[in-house]
Amino acid sequence: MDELKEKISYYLPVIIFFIITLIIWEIIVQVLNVESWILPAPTAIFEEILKTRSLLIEHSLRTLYESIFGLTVSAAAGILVGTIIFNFRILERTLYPLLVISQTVPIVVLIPLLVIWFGFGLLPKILIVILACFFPVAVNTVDGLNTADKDKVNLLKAMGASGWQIFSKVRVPSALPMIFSGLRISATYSVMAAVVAEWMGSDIGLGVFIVRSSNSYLTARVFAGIVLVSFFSIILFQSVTLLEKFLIPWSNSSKEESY
Amino acid sequence: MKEVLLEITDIKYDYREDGEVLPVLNEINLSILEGEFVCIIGPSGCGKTTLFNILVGLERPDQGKIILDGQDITCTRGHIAYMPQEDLLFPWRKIMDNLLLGVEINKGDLKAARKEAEGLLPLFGLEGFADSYPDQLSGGMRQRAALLRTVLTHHSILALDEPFGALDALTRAKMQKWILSIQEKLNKTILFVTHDIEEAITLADRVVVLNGRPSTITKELKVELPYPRQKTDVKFIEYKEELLERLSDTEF
Ligand SMILES: Nc1ncnc2c1ncn2[C@@H]1O[C@H](COP(=O)(O)OP(=O)(O)O)[C@@H](O)[C@H]1O
Ligand SMILES: [Mg+2]
Repeated sequence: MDELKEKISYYLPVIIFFIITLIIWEIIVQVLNVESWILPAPTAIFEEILKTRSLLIEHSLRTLYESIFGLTVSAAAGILVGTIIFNFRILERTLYPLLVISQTVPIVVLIPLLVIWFGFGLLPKILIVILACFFPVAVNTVDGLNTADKDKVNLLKAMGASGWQIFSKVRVPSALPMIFSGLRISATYSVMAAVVAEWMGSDIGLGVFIVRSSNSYLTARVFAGIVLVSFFSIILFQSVTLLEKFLIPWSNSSKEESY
Repeated sequence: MKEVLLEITDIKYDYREDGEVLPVLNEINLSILEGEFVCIIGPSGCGKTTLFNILVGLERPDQGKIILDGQDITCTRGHIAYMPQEDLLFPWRKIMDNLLLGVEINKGDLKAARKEAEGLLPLFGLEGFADSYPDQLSGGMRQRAALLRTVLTHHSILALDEPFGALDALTRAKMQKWILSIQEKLNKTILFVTHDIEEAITLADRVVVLNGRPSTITKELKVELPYPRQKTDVKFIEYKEELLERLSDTEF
């Protein structure tokens, strides 16, 4: 119960700020009589969401599928590749730098290529999501495995631990917080990556929905799409945070002083 | 007549870094009797931790041997129960799982070990904390948990590196009393590093002074005082002055 109160008071400022912004926005639009194709009022956007909900759900499901699927594959592949790179020093000096350099290529320029190679279907979208999400997980896995406290490693060695025991009992648990921070970054990228990929050529998904609405000057719909994109990003981000709380319970236990 | 349990013979060790050689230990000879409580004392940086690292097989000496029970254990691991300077409890493990770490590593009988640990919790002042995370414990409790983890590895020798160094004076005094009581109950041989002269005299059967550059054993002092020892005792003060003199005159 106290925890809930604490949470509410933590988020209260941002919630209030958000609501005030919406109110000011609404007032400006009403008072200045702004045309709805230039800037729709928040209430109009909300109405639009309700009105087009079946259409929005249809497009959202596709975008969500691409983002969640892509994110899951990235998480698994990122952790796997990160672990392999960590365990083979030679890869840390060959593959790892390449991985970093690959990040300087903007993903947007790859989209036309992927369209040429794989067409307009689901696959190139998922590939774009993976391209965006894989890197933070892989790099944070390598870095995380490197953060293990040398003294803890030595303690296990002194006990006569094998390499595998040191890896599984110290390195992996030490790496988890960093792996999760990589996952959280990826989670925020994933929806955006899917939308951008759809933007460049697709027949379904929030990306196309937004582009089509924009081409028809249905600005309230564009905003409806944007609202959903950020909503889903937040949901994915929060899911990762929740999973982290569940898997790393030790990082949120509190101190209790006694002799 | 007690038997010699551990023999440290003619250990020499240099730190090598970027081609530079820093001699740390030289001609270290020490015999530890079964059941003995030996305190190793010396200024910080004199190589106490290094000596322990050699003892437990983490470092290779440039010369010399470690003999346990007549068997050469130089550079091999898993013979001596080691408690490093920091408690090094794993924050992701509950206290009980931290305690069982050594047993887990040696693939011992976890069920039996858990039972034994549960039985020892009260003696270590950890009753009711088996399911807590280390973060929830005070400094003294963490230290005792680390010590219990060390004890549960079932080696006859405990090598404790400044175990109470980070504790406040009051907790420290309590812990000193307490460790004497458990040594009696558990029947262990203890090698105890400290840089606190009073702590050494309060605890040890024998105090060994390590200093010089490179460090060597410059004095061995048998403490012939009954427990519990009083800091105000004339003999205690004499010992203290003797050690202090030895520690200060080789500093430069
Ligand atoms: N990693 C290291 N690299 C170089 N020198 C070191 C290293 N660790 C310790 N030393 C040196 O070895 C000496 C002994 O260190 P240590 O055994 O930790 O001393 P103590 O535990 O007695 O304080 C010190 O003079 C220190 O400078
Ligand atoms: Mg030390």
